[in-house]
Amino acid sequence: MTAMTIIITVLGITASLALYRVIFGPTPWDRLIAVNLISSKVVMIMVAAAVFFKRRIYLDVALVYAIIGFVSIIAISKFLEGEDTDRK
Amino acid sequence: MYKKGVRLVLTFFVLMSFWLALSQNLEPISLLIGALFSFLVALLSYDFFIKPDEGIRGRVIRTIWLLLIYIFVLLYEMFLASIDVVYRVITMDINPEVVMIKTDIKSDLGIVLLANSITLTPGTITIDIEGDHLYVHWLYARTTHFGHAAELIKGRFEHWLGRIFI
Amino acid sequence: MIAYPFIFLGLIFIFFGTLGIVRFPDIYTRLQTSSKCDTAGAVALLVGLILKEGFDSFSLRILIILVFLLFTNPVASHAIARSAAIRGTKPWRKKKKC
Repeated sequence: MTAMTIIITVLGITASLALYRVIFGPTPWDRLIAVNLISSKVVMIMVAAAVFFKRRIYLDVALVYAIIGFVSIIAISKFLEGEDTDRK
Repeated sequence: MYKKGVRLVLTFFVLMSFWLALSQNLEPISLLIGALFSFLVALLSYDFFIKPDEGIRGRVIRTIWLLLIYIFVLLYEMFLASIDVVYRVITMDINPEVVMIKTDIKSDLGIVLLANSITLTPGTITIDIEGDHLYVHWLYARTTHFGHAAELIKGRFEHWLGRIFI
Repeated sequence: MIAYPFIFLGLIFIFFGTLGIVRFPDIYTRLQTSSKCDTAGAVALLVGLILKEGFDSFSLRILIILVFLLFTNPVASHAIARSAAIRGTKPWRKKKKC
């Protein structure tokens, strides 16, 4: 139980550090990097909770969350790319 | 390169093994549903999953062994790179540059794997790809010369990937 | 018991990777720590959790999540870097001492 408390505390502290970059980031891409980091932290917290609580359903939730996070990062970065595709 | 039926069957087996790994029961109804939907999805998407003009050089067993060895080499290099980046985070001793390197690998899958390997290894990320030229951002640039930088960045990865892909 | 060094190593990597996000000066250098340290930390942490759990059908799914993270994290950072480069973000350079 204590090992799980340590893991989730450290991951939560690092997620709040990344939240600083989400709030004060000067450009949209800084915010995107920090959101990507937070999403992978959430996946790791879910896997740790699944191992320590012995719940198998949390792993499925973690896999789907990872897939949705990846697709949304790709979509937002394509959106920020803009429409001028006549670059040589 | 490959015929249509071979590509369809390969896609079907990849999807079916993924279904078995995720569902993890061997009852007949589960196997039947998995086979049906794997066949439907394979019929729709085999053309994107395995492109007709790309393939794997040599025999299949040898290629799988080489890919496994390659993954372990990649993990080892990734840990060395992370220790280096942690050192740079603590001391803030950085000197970033953008350099352009050229690769000899022709296949799309090989270039994607090479770009991923460059992103995961010492202090470099791939920014953009045009044809066979890669723009690479280097965290601690030791040189800006074209050939020397390529030798330092690609290192042994291109050697490994060149033995696997065409 | 062999699992705990891996978990500790993963937490160290993840912590310094996130610290790099806060300290470094521009997008590309932040992306360096985000892609490398975070992937290495995730791999070490999940391998530690697999070793703690033992090899059964439960840890096969953790292995699937690990492989997925290992292959998609570089692709996501490459997409972010490419979109920033297309919109013309200049990389930060160290000032020459002269």
